[in-house]
Amino acid sequence: MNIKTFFTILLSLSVFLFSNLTRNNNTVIDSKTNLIWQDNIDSKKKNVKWANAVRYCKDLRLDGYTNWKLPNIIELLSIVDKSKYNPAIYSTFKNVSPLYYWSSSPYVSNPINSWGVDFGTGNDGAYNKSHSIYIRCVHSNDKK
Amino acid sequence: MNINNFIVICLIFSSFAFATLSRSNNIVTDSKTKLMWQDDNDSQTQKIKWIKAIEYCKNLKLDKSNKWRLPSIVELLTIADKTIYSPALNPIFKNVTSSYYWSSSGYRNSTNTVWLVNFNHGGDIALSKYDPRYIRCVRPI
Repeated sequence: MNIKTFFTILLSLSVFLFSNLTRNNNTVIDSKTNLIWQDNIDSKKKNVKWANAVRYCKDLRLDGYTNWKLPNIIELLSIVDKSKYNPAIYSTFKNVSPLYYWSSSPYVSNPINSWGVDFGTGNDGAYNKSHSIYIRCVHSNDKK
Repeated sequence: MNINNFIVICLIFSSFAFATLSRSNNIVTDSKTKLMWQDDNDSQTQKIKWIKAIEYCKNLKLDKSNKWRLPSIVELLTIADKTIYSPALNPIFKNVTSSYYWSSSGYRNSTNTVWLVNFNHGGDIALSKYDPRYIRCVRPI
């Protein structure tokens, strides 16, 4: 084994060891937060009103998982990579639009809104629940 | 030990086990993130430009602790509590203004803009470095 091959293997190994994100077919598993994320074509294309987003996640079946839900704002912020933009999300995710995504968290000072994340810039904000924005459902790894 | 005592002990233990924030003098310690947060009068009243904020944290001595720095945006968001507002911060913190607080994190490739948290509602935003904003320094436990 020459020195270049050795370093390539070392690099691949360290990326593998330190990345907490791994990909399945249509899902991304985060071993740090113990969350499984939807990452199929719907999570790039589909935009719906907040109430429909809640229902969509409830009905979702993906890679053998049921029991999906809309992520709360803390969960959703955990996949934001603020060192990037357009999209500001970890690169393990393949299906993303650089636009607004719903969370389940109410905007307490004005409940007409719900918290969401703008995956173009990576910042969070309050969005009117009657608007149609994007969705990425989450599944807690604790209950398959 | 009777059952009542047992329940009381369980309750005390569980509140201890689940509360991640604790307070002493001018510092709030978060055992989950292993971070200590400044919480003195300055963290409610000092409003300075970003470059001064970096310097301020570097020079801060609080309850005999030094080695303070400005938090990253990810760190600062760990104390934002979006389930409450004005301020969107756990009431264990006594010194807060419901406004923008500096992070050390730059926005995109911009040299003029950095991330801040608005502790009125707990959301984040990128704003100019050159306006005075509030500060809450952080250090590892």
